Amino acid sequence: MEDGAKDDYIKDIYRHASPNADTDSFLGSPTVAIDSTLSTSNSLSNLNLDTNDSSSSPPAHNDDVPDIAEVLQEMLATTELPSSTTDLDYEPELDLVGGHRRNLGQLNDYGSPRADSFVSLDPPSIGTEVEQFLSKKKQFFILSSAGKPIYTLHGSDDVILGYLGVLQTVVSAYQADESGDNLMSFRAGKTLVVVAVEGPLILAAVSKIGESESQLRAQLDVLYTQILSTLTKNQIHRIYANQSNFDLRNLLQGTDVYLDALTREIVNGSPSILLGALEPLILRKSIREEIDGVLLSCRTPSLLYGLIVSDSKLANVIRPKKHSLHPPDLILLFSMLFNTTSFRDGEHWVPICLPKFNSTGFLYAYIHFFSKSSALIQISADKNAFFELREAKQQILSQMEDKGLIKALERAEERGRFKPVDVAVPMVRHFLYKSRAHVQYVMPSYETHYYEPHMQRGLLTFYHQLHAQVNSDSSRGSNNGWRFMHLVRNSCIGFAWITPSFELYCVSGPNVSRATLAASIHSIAKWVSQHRERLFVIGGAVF
Amino acid sequence: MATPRTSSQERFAQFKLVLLGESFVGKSSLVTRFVKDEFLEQRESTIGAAFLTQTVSLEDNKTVRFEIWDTAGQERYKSLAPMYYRNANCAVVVYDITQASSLERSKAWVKELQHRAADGIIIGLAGNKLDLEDKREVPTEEARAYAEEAGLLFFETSALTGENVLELFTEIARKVPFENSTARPRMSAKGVDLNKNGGTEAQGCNC
Repeated sequence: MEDGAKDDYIKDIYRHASPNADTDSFLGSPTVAIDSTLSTSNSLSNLNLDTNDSSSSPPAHNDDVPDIAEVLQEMLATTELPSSTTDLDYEPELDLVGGHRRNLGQLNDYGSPRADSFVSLDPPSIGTEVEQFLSKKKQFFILSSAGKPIYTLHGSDDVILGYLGVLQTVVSAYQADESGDNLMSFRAGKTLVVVAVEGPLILAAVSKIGESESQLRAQLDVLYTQILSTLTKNQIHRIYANQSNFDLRNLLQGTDVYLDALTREIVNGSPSILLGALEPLILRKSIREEIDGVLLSCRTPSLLYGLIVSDSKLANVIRPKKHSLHPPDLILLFSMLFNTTSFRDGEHWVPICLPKFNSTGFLYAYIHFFSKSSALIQISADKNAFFELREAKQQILSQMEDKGLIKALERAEERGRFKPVDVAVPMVRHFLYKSRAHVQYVMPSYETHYYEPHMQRGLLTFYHQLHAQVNSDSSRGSNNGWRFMHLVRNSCIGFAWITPSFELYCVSGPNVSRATLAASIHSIAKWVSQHRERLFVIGGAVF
Repeated sequence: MATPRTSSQERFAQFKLVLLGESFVGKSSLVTRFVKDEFLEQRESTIGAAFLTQTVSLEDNKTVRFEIWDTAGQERYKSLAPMYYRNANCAVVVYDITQASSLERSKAWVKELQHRAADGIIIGLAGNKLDLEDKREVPTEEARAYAEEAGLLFFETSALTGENVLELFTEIARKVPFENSTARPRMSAKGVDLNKNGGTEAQGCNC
């Protein structure tokens, strides 16, 4: 490891004073490149994994910490595992298994039945299940600060528990050194690990597909938001204050489907999560206003927000003057409604915390799908308001029916997104336009160039790269919020244009000149601006 | 009040029914079988509660419309339950015949209903998943004895095959006195208790 600096395994350990710092403040954070010479087995024993409670173990010496980080990310980065015949050549891995088991001993003391069943697997088998787990390009882990699993994207408990133990130990080692710092991220070759410590919860994202730290952090925030929406911040803090080794899965029972739906969206490259914005349903201005009118006229006293959503696209919203809705809350809500089957039948009354609105308390959502893909959502702070809102629903739907608005919505949904040709920029294959003021984005349909799912996935990966580059520290200059990025690949060219009012990402085929692209991008911005009232939900109706 | 139709002998009543029971015993599946005569192999957990209606016809020209609260079984929703059973005329408490512990949970629900729900509430005990006879943990006689002792209607049901599902709801419809029927839907909407927990609002956590 002498040449560690040139080596893929060189790690940048980012440490940060504020656990909630956003990417902007990352500019000033110290970056420490560590050249490690200690073997992984040493580093494990340095971490006191075999003590009874690693979270209260004496702070590890600073010099040792990077090595543990190295161990962890090596574990996560490794795709090739030793076969059983070469065990001796892979001593560090075996030692990790040892760490695994010691850590499980702790979990077991806390009485987790799952840990029990795991301990009987002695020694834990390093087989195809582990190989599969390690070969994943993307991982999410949510655990408690005591190291208890809460959610993972891949891997059974048998596979993940050891990794979670190491992760928890590394995070707590940083917390224990009295600097008040939290581990933020580290990198090994192409693998980036981003950690978010949210009170008693630890969330980690592992990516081998070139996403940026801020992108992964935004993804972790989406998952954290989902957990808060079920339990609220207060409840989580109260639970762990009483019992630090609580198994939160007991309380989250049944919500895995929503976390799964979100991680599926993230893994599929959801533009909504990338841009932190909602996609509106394209609707004639007059239709949108008529629906607003119906919603307003049927509003009952308990109503806080009223929304109509078609296939995850926001059609209408009414809200009190004092409160606006927060896109991250809605991204979450829409994912619950449209990526699961839970709400498709009947009427539902659901306690939900909308964390960006108020992370400490519950609101109540009346949810009803009035057609196959369109839902009416009425949100209230009053848990007894169901029948009041139900009656409002009956009036809303009968008025909409009478005025032909349900049909109009159906037609809008059938029409779907606009086509690239509508915008008259022949060289542009696809684009994402985010209005920063409305926190909404529009894009043309994928057809023509990206009709196959794998092509769409490729396009979205490319958008992530473009987004990462144009939003990277180095390209965030003074320019008053104006930025520009030109990214040339063999098969396509990407162009990003960031202004204080919008973000525009577009992709053309190869061999398109910069001048042509610049002209196209201007045309797109102009076209969107001309059609803004049809494309976006402008402010919603206010009462 | 019963709301007899004007025509000769036809009588119509509307009852509020709440389903309670541990998670994964099949409450939503029972309701779906009753309301839509469907069964979903892969069902996601209910969160909060779902509200459905279904009408059954009885002998003597009687028609009963059920307004059904299908509640979530998870522990975290426990404190919301009173909101759903408070005005209920009838309840179905569901357990899973393949999980002995789920019957114990049912007994706790029955006790809570008998203490805290409206007087005269008709309670049905449903041992669901009758199609999984080979995995049975709760003997029929044990459950029946308990039901008799506690004064409950008792059925073993299968939401999958539909066995006894309609029978369960029909028997409940027969047992609820027509006089106890809630009034017309519109009136019942206003009748929901808006005061008891007023002011809790966002603080009304469901821990």
